[in-house]
Amino acid sequence: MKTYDTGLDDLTLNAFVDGQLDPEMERVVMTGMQNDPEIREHVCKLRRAKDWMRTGFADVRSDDRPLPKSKAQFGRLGTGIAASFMAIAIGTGGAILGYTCADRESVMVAGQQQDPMRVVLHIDDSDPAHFETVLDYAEKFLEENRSRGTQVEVVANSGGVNLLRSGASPFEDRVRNLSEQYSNLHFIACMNSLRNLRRQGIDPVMFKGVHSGATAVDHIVQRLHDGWTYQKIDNLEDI
Amino acid sequence: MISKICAKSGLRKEIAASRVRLYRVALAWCGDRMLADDLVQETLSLGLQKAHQLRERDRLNAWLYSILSNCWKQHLRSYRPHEDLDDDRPSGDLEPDSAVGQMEVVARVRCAVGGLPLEQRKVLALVDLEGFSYGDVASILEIPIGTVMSRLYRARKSLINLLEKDSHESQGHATPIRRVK
Repeated sequence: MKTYDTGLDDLTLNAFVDGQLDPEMERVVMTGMQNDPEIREHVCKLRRAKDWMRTGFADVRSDDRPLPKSKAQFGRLGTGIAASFMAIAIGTGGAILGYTCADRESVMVAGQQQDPMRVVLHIDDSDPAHFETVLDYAEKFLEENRSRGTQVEVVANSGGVNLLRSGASPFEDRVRNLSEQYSNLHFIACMNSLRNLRRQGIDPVMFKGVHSGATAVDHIVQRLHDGWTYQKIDNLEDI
Repeated sequence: MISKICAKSGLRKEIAASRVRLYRVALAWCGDRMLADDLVQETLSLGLQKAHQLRERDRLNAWLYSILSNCWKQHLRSYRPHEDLDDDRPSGDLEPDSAVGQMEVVARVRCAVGGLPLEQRKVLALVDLEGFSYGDVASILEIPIGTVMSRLYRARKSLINLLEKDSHESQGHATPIRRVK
């Protein structure tokens, strides 16, 4: 297992991407990412591995068997374990292929004060329930802090960009309504993720008003640099 | 009495609603759709039978995965007596033969996951597919948190090695340029 110059190790970086660290330790890792491109790249790889898992099992459907009334027998277990990797068609392959993070030179500002009224919300998977959580959170936050100079940005990458795509997302009306209702709410789609879709032969048509032009990583790092507060979907679910 | 009946009915619905999520994890563990389906059916059956033993309702999810884990262990004991549950062998270089397009992506991921040692697969699926905390995974699988972390670390390392290799090959990339600090 690798230990980096900053004293951080691989176990800690895994815990970071899984949201298992306390805020103080998270800050230590983020500072490490600022100072060491190798750490930054490794964190990026770990996040990609999580994306792979989610994509690989995103569209699994089980047979709709009736709920057992009493203890059932292992009807078909006698068939043993057949190594079956039959692929089920899924909605998106996301950024599995051609996903790169080695060229990130952006910086995060260590010790930067976070402004709780300026929030960047990050979603990186195509689960509609997750996106709904993001929208609910954004709407509630904006409603409760109307006159406090709030700014909210929803940044989507990987499978998350599908939730901002016309014809691929069930949220077009809601995103449009929210955008019309709140001028301080913006939606940003990751440039790399859009490029990956094009490589797969998909021409992504984004909702009106959705911005692009930077990668999610670059945009989020810039916002952190500007003092914004970062919230990932995983954390929102606990709020 | 009415509230008890309602609670029981609600619990039954919650258990039933867990089927797809349990199935996804079971599939990641065993790699076989039929077997995964049977494991989930058995889990739901036991869950319904033992629902009265569940003391904390908010632990229902973790409790169901504990049952699933036990069903899986029981199956392995019955049908794969020689499988080493703590097998830490490096994952194999598996590749599906005929997957294309997006199905290929899914197949590659599942193939790579299937090549991981069983105990790494279990931890990886619970953390990445279900979003369980390390503490919950430790409780579900009855292992120390440190073991959860080390298995997760090894699982992801293998997954990254396998899938990045596939990714580079599929794009016809040469060996990636290493960054020099």
